[in-house]
Amino acid sequence: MARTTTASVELDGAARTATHDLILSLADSKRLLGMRYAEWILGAPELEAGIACASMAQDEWGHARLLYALLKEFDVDVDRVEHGREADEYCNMVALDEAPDDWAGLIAINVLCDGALTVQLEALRASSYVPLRQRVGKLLEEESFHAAHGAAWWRRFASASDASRTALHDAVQARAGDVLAWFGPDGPGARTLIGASVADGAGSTLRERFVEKIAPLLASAGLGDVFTNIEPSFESFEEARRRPHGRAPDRATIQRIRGDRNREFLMD
Amino acid sequence: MTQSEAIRSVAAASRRTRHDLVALRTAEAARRAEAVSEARARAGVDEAALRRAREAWVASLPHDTAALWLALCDVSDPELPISLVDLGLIYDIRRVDTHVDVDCTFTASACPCMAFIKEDIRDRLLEEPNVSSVQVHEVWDPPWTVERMTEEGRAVLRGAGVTV
Repeated sequence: MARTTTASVELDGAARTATHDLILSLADSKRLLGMRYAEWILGAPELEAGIACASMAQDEWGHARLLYALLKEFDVDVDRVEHGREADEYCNMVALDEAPDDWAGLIAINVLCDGALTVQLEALRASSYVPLRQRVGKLLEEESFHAAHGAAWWRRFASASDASRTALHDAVQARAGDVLAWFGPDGPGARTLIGASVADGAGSTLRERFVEKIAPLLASAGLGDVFTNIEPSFESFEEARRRPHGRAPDRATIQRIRGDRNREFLMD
Repeated sequence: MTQSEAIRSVAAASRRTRHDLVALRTAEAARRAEAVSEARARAGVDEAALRRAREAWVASLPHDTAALWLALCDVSDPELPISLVDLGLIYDIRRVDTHVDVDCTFTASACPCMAFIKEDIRDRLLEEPNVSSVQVHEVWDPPWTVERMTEEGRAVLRGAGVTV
């Protein structure tokens, strides 16, 4: 069994940095994803779907909270990370930068973005970094409901009509490249995470796991070859932030996420 | 009144609201105790079997923290009519002199009642003799599932119409 690490200071320099970067990218992505779900609490096609979005938003913000809290171990000012950063400092998955403009887009995000985050979490189930491993089980347990929700709606889109299938195709194709790229190149950071047994896979390994995992859903929608035909682009890609340089989530979303207008009302 | 004065006054009112909430919750706890006994009657709970299970559990408690575990049996979950102990949220209690550490989990990673639950644990344990400080630690491993509930807790929830 790999050596385990209970404190971030016990990770060596490069592993510590790569672990910090991974946690921040996961937390930021979950925060944005929670916001994307929350935007559909009212306006989803069914009342039940809106309620599901409320639950998923709550879960994602809970996950983000647990992950941000871990950054204290890395000598990070967590309050600033949560409430002080500008949009261009975020490290979230690019496919979550903009709000989807229709329900097909939300379902694409549910299956692709939430699914990709889950594949990344699964690679941490046996992490040598104990504080992270100890949280992953709870997160994955809650994620199983998100996967069931996404799959159920995906199948409805895939089978309802030509129009619904086309809407799903467009939503998936618009995001596929960004989702695949989020797993990152097989660069130094990825090698460090695997070498330190923080993760049991990174970069192309996780991409393959992800595509294999969603293959049945892709096939059900006649999208079997969408992901196999895409070569993720790493042009101007920052491995540490897991996104291309120069792009940022929309500012209005970040202002709401930071709670700018409500900070002075906090009781604590 | 300037805008910042207005904001400060709202924040002060929020703090007052918090104090009012504590009073409300005390009244709610009394009402809940009554509801629990009604729920048990409705569920046809085998009180004798549960009493035996509870006695066995009490006998199994570590000597130095038994009173603390029993004290937390008085603390209800804010949303369900059973104690934090019956819900299976308390993972460990340790005592060093007059300081107590409690390992506690939550049913969901975004449980909206985390702050209340921690506060209730602290407040109740500080009522115990020879306890001067309490620290509540959040733990997530192993994750909470309904399997962690006691038989007594399940019986009450079933009586209240919750499937467990």
